[in-house]
Amino acid sequence: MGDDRLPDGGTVRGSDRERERTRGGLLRALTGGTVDLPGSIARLYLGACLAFIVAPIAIIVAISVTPEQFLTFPPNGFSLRWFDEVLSNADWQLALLNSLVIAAGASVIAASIGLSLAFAIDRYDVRYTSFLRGIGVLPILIPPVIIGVAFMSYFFLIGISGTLLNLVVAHGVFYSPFSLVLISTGLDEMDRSVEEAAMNLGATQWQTLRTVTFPIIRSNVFSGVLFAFILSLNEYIIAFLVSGFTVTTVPIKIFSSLRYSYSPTIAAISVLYIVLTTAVVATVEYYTGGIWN
Amino acid sequence: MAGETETETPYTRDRSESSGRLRGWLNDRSESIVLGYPLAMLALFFAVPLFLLIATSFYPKPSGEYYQVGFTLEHYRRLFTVPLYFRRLGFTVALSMATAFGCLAIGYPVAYTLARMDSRLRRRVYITTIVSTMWLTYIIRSYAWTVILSKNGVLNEFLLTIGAIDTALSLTPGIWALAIGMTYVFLPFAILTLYSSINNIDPELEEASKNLGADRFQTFRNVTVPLSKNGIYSAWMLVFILALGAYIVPRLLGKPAQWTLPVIIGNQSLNNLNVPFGAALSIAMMVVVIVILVAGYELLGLGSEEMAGAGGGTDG
Repeated sequence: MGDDRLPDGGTVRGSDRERERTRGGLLRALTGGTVDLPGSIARLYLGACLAFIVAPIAIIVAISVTPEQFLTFPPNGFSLRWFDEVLSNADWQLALLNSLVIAAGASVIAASIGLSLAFAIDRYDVRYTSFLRGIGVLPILIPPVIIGVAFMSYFFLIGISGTLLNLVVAHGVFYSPFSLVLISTGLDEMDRSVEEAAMNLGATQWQTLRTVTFPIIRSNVFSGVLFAFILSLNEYIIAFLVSGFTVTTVPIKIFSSLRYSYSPTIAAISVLYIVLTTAVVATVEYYTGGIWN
Repeated sequence: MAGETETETPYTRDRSESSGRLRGWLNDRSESIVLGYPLAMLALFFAVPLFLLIATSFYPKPSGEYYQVGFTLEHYRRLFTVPLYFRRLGFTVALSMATAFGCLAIGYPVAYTLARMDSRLRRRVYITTIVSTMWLTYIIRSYAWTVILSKNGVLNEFLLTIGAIDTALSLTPGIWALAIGMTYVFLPFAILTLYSSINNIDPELEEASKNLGADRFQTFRNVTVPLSKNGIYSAWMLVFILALGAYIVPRLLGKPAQWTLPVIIGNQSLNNLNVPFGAALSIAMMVVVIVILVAGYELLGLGSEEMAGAGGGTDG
């Protein structure tokens, strides 16, 4: 858009250039009048904030590969012993397996609730559409600790508590709003005439749904599943309240380990979680062509 | 095979029948299944537990037992008469508001810079990074800050080495660790919400403002900020609501005197095994959240979906 690239690498928008020359004498004196100072400040600020966001994570990574109990600067060598320790420990293995199973089950439940509700709201002449949407989104607006206490006494009352299935259902319902919002958005944005075309060409309803509608909203469904998966994997308080001290997930185990020590094994399992979470987010981002853009 | 039935279907189907079919989409029975399934799940595993929570808050709590079915106002009386709980509520609300303002102030320039960034690839990398940390369990993120701020932690090591301090500072648990931790975990939510709002502003409008003689700051104040007003409200509301529900960060980074209401609720329900009182506290807290949501809806025109936010979040 008419950016003038200046010899020293700074840029000034064409429309700005004249004004920048007549104003801000001090800035001009300091920068030679050519550098886009607010732009550099913005970049510097962005860099500082990204550092603020990434630095704590980087420190955990550094701890996880340090051979000693405590992190020193500069680190004394590199070692994967803490990863080995975590992955060969039966307790951590079980916690990791539990977390993955719960997350997988919960994401299926969340997606099935979100998908069917989004379809019902979109397709049927149901009244109270906004009410239904509100109900569908409500779980995520309630503080999780409250959901946790509610589930805890509910499962206690019906006499089924402390099983994996309790956690699956609790997380599945709690994270269904993401699927609902994502799939609703997909259905809203979809061009309805392609379905009509398929039907006019003789496709049955089911065929249209399967071969036309679903491929169009597939990335929304997929993202909803992954959202629920990763959120369930990382959720602590509902899981802890519902688990009744019998089911251990990774966050629950990390939390209880933190009471006793800051062992580098916690850093190692954290790094596995960081990698897993980042991989899923990057997959969603790639697959949807930039869902957050 | 699908292909065979497709070709066998008569081509002469008339248009009105077809669009009638589309209106009816899946017919009656499947309609009741498609609508009935999610509603049944939400009723059975969301509405019923919540109603039960309300009921539980009125159940007597005999010592040594979980609870007893019955009716008592004892828990609500305790909640209203013991000043501790009101102070906790006040502290929780104040901390959440401060967190929301802090995240907004820090996050807005970040969101703006990201939205106006020329390189699409770099922007996507940054956003993926921000979203990834956003979804990492609060436990790991709080743990990281404990490592940084603790007495023999990274920050103290650094400050001692450069000679800025003589004795190690005891920062965690404490109010500053709590403030930093809260801002840290909720900042990504604010950035993303603001980003999607600013991204929707047509850059031409800012260009036009500049062409009409406004400087950068005037343009920012009179064009960009008003146009992203809804994003600002949503981001503030989202962070505020998430912060109200925060359990992990206050628990790990705050002193017991700085524990927020969710921590008290968790402790009552688990450590003291006083579920009815935990339920009463939960109901009180939910009333506060509902009042805030309704206020957001009435005063700022935010729908539930806006408040659920950009990818939302929970106190993992």
